[in-house]
Amino acid sequence: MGAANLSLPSEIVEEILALLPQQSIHRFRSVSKSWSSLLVSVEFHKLRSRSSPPEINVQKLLHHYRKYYPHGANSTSYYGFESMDFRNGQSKNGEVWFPTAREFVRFAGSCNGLVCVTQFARYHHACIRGIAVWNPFTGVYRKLPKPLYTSGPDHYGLIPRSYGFGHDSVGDDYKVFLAARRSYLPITEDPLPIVQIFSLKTGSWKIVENHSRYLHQLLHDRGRGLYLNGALYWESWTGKRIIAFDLVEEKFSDVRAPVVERSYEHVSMGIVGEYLCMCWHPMGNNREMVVWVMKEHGNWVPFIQYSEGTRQLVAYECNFIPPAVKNRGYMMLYFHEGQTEVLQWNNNHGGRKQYKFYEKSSSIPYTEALTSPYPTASEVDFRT
Amino acid sequence: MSITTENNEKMITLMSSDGEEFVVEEAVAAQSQTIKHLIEDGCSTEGSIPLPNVTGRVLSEVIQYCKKHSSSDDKEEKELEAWDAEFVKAADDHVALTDLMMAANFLDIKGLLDLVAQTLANMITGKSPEEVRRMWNIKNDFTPEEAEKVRKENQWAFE
Repeated sequence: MGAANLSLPSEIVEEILALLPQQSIHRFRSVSKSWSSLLVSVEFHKLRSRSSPPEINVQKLLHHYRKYYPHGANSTSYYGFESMDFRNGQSKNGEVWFPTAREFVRFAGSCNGLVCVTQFARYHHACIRGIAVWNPFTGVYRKLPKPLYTSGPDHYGLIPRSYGFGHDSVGDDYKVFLAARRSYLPITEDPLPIVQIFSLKTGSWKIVENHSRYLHQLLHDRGRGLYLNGALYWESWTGKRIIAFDLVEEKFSDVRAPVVERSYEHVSMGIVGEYLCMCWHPMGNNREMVVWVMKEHGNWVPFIQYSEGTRQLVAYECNFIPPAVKNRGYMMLYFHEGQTEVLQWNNNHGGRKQYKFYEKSSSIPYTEALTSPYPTASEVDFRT
Repeated sequence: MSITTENNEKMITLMSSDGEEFVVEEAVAAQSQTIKHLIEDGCSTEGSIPLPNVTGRVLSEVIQYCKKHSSSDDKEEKELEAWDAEFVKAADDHVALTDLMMAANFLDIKGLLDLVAQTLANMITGKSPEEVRRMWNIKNDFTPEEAEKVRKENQWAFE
C-alpha cells in the first residue's frame, strides 16, 4: 500500500493531531479545510485536554515578558508568554505559544477563558497594528479585522486611550471595546476619541454614538477597563469618578465612587472575586492599603485593610484573584517599580507569598476554559 | 474451529484480507476488543475470524505486539517500553505506521493505537503543511485567497 492510496479516517487524524504541541497545531491549520475546522473545534480541544488532565476553570495568570541579555553590541531581548499557576502556594510557569510574542503587546481584557491582545506598531509605539482574541488554553486565536477609521499600511493610525473586552450574556457574544484617537489628524481637528466595538458574533466593528459627555474622560489614557458582569469599568485618576460601559445595551453610565476619609490617597481600582474594588493608602502611609468593595450598584463597603511592614505598596492595577482553593485568601496582582508582582495572603493568618516577574512585563488573570474565539467553532468563515 | 494446545490454551484462527491465516492463543487475540467481542458473540466457532480491513503483513505486526503485551506483566514495564520503541522503529516509515494505526483503530487495541499515534505525532511535529499533505496525500482544498488568509493569520508576528 503506497502513500497514494492512503486516506486517513478523521478519527485517526484527530488522535494524532491531539498529541501535537500548540505551534504545530497552528501551522497545520493551513493543510486543508477539514484540518483547519478540526483544529479550531471545541471537540478537538476536549480530546486534546484528555492527554493532559482536563483541569478546566483553573485561574491562572498570563504574563508577557521581555528577558534582556546585555552583551554590549550583541545585547538581545527575548519576548514570550508564560502562564503561572498558583495552586498549592507555588508558582509553576509554563510557556504559552502565541505568534506575536516578539512584539510589544498589551492585554486589552480577559473573560471566560478568552484574552484580548493588542499589538503595537514597531516604530510608532503609540499606534496599534493588530488586535486578536486568544484562548491561551486551547491555543486558538482569531485576528480581528482592521477597526474603522484606520489609516496607513503598517499600522492602524489609531492611538488607543481606553479599551476592554467582555461578554454580552443576552446576545451570547464577546465584544472588544476601543476608544482611540486618530494619529493622522492634528489634535485640534480630532479632539475626541472614536469609540467602536467589535462583536465576535457578527465579525465586524461598529461606532458607538451618543457618548459626548463621557468622551472627555476617555480621552485620557485610561487603559484597560475592568470587566465584571457584562460591563467594563474605568476610573478617573483621583478615583472620584467611575465610568461604566454596558456591553449588552452598548451604553455608558456613571457609577458612584466610594466616599472615603479625606486622608486617603487613591491607588487603583480592581476586582475582588465578583465585586469591583477600590484601593487607597492612608495619607502619607503607602505601606498600608485600604480596600473597599461595591456590594450592589454604587453601594461601597470596607473589605480589607492590608499592611506590608516597611515596604511601599505602589499599585498600578490591583486584581484580587480568589485562588483555586476556597478560603485561602486572595492573590493581588500589582505593578511595583517597573515589575509586576503578585502577593498572596491568607485571610486567617495574614501569611503571604510574593512572586516576582521580569522587568517590562504585563500580566492578566485568565481562566482555563474551552471557549472558542469563533462564533461556532466548526464553521470558520474564511471569506471575512 | 477451536484447537487446544498442550498447556490447555484455546487457539483461534484469524484471516487477513488477503487470505493469510494466523493461529493465535485466544488470550493474545482478545487484546483486540473487536475480536474479543466477536469471540463472545460466538463468531469464531465456525472457523476462522475474517478481518477484511487488515492485510497479512499488518496483521502479523499486530499479533507480534499482542503476543508481547499478553505475556508481560506490569513488573516488566521498562522492558516493555523499550520493546515498544523498537517495535515502532521497525515499522519505520509513515505508510507502515498509518496502516498499523488504522488496524489498531479497527481492532480496537488501545495500547497500540496510543503508541503509533504518538510516533506519528512526533514524526510530523516539525514538518511544514506541504510535507504533511504529501505524507498522507491530502488535497489542499483552499482557494488562493483562503490559503493567504490562513497563512496571514498564522504569520501575524512574522511580517
